[in-house]
Amino acid sequence: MVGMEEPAVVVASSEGSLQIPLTFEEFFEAQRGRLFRALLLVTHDAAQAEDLMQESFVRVWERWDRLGRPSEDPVGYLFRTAMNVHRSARRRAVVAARNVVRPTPRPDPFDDVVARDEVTRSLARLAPRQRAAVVVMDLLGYTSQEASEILGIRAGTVRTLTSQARATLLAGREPTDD
Amino acid sequence: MTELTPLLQRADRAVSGVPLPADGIEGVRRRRDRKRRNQRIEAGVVGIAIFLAAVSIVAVEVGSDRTSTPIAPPTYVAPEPPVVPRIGLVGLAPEGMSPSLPMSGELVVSFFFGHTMGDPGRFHVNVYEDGRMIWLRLGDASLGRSSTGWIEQRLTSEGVEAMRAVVLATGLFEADAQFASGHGLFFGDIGVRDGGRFVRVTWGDIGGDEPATIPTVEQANALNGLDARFADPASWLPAGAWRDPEMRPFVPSRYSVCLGAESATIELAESLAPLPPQAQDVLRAQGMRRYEYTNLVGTFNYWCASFTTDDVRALARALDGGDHRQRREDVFGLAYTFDGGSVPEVWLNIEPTLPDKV
Repeated sequence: MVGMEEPAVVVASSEGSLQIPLTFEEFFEAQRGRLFRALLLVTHDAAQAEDLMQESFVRVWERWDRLGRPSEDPVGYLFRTAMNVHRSARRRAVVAARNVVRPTPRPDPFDDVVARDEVTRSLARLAPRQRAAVVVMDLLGYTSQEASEILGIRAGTVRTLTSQARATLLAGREPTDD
Repeated sequence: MTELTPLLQRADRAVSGVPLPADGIEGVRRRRDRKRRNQRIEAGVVGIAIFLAAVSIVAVEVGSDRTSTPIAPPTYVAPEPPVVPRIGLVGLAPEGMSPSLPMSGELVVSFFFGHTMGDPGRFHVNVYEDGRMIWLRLGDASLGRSSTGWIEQRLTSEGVEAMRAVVLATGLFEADAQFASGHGLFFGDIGVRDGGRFVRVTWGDIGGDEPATIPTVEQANALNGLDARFADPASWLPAGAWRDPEMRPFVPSRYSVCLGAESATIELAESLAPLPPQAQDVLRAQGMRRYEYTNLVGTFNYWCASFTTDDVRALARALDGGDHRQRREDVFGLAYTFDGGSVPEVWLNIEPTLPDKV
């Protein structure tokens, strides 16, 4: 049983501090909604977001002995891992696209959101790296330096990507009443 | 919190309607168990493969004359580049170091090769007509390697020609070409002078939309093979190709100083406002020029000037004397960020100028 002897951790989150001590299961429950939504916005594909989320949590779980220490940042590690796995998945997808016959797409609940929400439609127009940068900085609230570590690119590149993304999103914004 | 945060929060609320995966922690547990099982199976398969490989080697050595025809060329697997410690400078050139001369140089080959989807392992090489080869490999924490910093070596004219020829010999540089990533290629940009033309082959996402054409295995292998050549030129260049093979730090004669903000457009006065007054004076005295960066999705601007090493040291002293949010020294020079007034953040980068940009 994982979690019986977990060390105490304090996890800072934009959704508030989490209870300590923290088991992996508690960490999972606390973070999975936030991570799933962020990955939905980055990938625009519910199945892919689920796959990336599962793989990211597995990798965190495999390292929970270390990540559970007070000096560690499991939330940062989780999002960094998710973005790394996302990049690897993109690479594999590009290579695989030559040889694989695409299966019939299954209905994606995210499509309904895109049909209704103008902002998510605008996000779809961004390049994948721009989308990832803007989600990490503007939604998750990381600084450009932290985002650079999460995304594996220079802080200057993060700034360029977010500037491009912001220009697109703000230029394409339809009038709203909020 | 940025001006875009409310928009993203709205999108976040919108996607919260998508149901969370139903199997929750159980799905993660099953995946972890499956992964462990596969790792055990893989370990067994590797053991069997090693055994079979040993058997097949013995079979070949006893004189089997069977032949086989490969269906497709295998994707090239580049050898690990030689480990080079950090020789290049970090931050600004220390006082007393002689700058690389001549100040300017004409590019014969420019080489920029991404080894991951991000910065880790990224490899840059510039070969100049005057024989200088200035290069940099960024660190890769997963391999336990640090950045080399900008390194200078010197080639003879024969060496320059050999570096140019090896690029042209790939047959890919008849005309400019753009590829998508694939077959071991992530992103990159190689240019070579051919007569009066400078021909460029790029691939992957290097700032704009990724092109649709995926390289063939042969094209990807040719580019990866070029990467292996450039990573270790000492292994194939003739002795006469080197004027000075010793790796020394590249000492720039000039630096570019640029500042801007994350917003799309910023006037010079706005970008200078968060800086210490003395630094503002130094920057104004240099005559900052406005630059625009336009891509498919928008335009933003920043301000730059070229500084001598002495002037840039004076600027750094003035900046260090003020309140900055962050200061970072790395192989690309010095970078500061400041709390902006009308904008969330102002950034200022001091970067070495390579000879083709002087």
